[in-house]
Amino acid sequence: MAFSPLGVFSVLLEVLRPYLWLLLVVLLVDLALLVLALRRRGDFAWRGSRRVALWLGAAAAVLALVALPYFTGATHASLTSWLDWFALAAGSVGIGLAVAVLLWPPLQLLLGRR
Amino acid sequence: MLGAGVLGSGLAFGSDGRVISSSARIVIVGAGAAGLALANRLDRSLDGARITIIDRRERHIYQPGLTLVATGAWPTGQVLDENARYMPRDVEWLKANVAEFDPDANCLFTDEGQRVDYDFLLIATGLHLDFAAIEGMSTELIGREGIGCVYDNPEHATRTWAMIDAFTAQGGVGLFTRGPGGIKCAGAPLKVTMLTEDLLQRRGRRGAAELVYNSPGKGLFSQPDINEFLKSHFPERGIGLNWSHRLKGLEAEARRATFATPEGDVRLDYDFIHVVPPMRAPDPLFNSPLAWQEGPFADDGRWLEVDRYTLRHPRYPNVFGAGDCVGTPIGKTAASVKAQVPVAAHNLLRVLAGREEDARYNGYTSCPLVTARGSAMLVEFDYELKMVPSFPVIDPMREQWLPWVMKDRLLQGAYNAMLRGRV
Repeated sequence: MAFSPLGVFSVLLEVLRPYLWLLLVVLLVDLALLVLALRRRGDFAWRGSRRVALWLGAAAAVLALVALPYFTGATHASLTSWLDWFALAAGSVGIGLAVAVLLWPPLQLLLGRR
Repeated sequence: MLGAGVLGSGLAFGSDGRVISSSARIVIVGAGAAGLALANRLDRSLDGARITIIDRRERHIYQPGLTLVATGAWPTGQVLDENARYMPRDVEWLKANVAEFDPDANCLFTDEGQRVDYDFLLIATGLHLDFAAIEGMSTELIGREGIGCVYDNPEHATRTWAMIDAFTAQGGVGLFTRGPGGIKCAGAPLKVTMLTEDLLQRRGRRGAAELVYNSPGKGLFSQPDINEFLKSHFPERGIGLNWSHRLKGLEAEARRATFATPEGDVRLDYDFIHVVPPMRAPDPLFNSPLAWQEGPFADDGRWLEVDRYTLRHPRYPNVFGAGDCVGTPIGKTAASVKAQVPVAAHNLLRVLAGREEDARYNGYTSCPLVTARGSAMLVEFDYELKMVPSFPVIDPMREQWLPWVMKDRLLQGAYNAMLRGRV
């Protein structure tokens, strides 16, 4: 069957629908923290906060690599093809990047104070 | 059962992708998956038409999830929803059931005696599970005396899980059955069998149980490649196979089942039995001139007569059908609904615009065939029983984790998007 971008977006929206409010809250909090961080001119810790966020994101990706199959009621023994491992790796990298992006504003605030 | 097909884009709204002005009275019978999806698509594509949907049910059940509830993988609440969440605002919702169709007069009668006239009729009633066709069986027995049945509603599935849970703890003989003829989600009886076997393995109780799958015919699955796979896969897992065994009766207290076979009746004792009854069109459709009057779809369940490609009634051209109730060679799954609804809606819109219907349903159906918790095969095929994978990168002949993730985490969202007419 063919795909349409609107169809894929609609499915994703439905999958996320139960958690949309939580996502919205997290994004708003993050945005507020980002604004606060940006207003502290001269007190920026670009390099430090980015490095820590990436490390934490990498840790989250490794954790996802270990835990994702169990989160779906499966085990790593259930992964039987390169596609399964690719999906696991891609999902874990995605989670890691999301964690890094979400953690960067609070880290910027924390590290910027030093 | 809902395949990856629900992720597909389907046909554009309206015969030309535009809103069509019409004053037609359109009646949709049934607010299940097909009825709601039709209502949403038509509501967005028509301006001025009066659309009525008839169904008393306010609860919506995500039926593709019932196998997971019945085998302990999902909580009951995960398959429960409300029709109101998906009902378009402009559509009149008549909370009654249809008692009689009178297509010669272009009207129907509800069980409250109300006459409803229409210009166009869309039938999406779903089907009837004929438990009465099995002597000694009733739905009250599900969840008692080792009797389970995954079909119909979450209560049945939850009570089935209680039986499977107890069976895996106590062991004994587990019989698995399948109703003859056309049944919805024909993969469900197989999935329940394999997930029960998987549960016994996980609990270290496999040696305490004997499992036997009783097929009413000489095969396990309509798609030949998957049929061959299963015919070797079941014995590899120590699951016995009885061919041409149609469940005929139950003695619940004695935990004994009678099967009709070519050699005569065979009685088998059990500790757990998964009952899958024959299925047919609901009574109002079954008894109406709209049903197939002769041929295999009349003999099997008196399903709604439609052209298998256009989904339009050949004798009553202002009638279309979609979902489990239609008499087509395959296609009683939610994935089939996804493929059928755009065709039926599009063809109706073409007719309203004074043009010939041009969309065709190719028989697409899909089954994420769950072989164990965490493992599934994404099987998609058409009328010709040819594999038609939505994702060519996913081998349909291989048990993998990714199709399981789709079944467990993604397809319910896809189903809901389908209800809204968005995919």
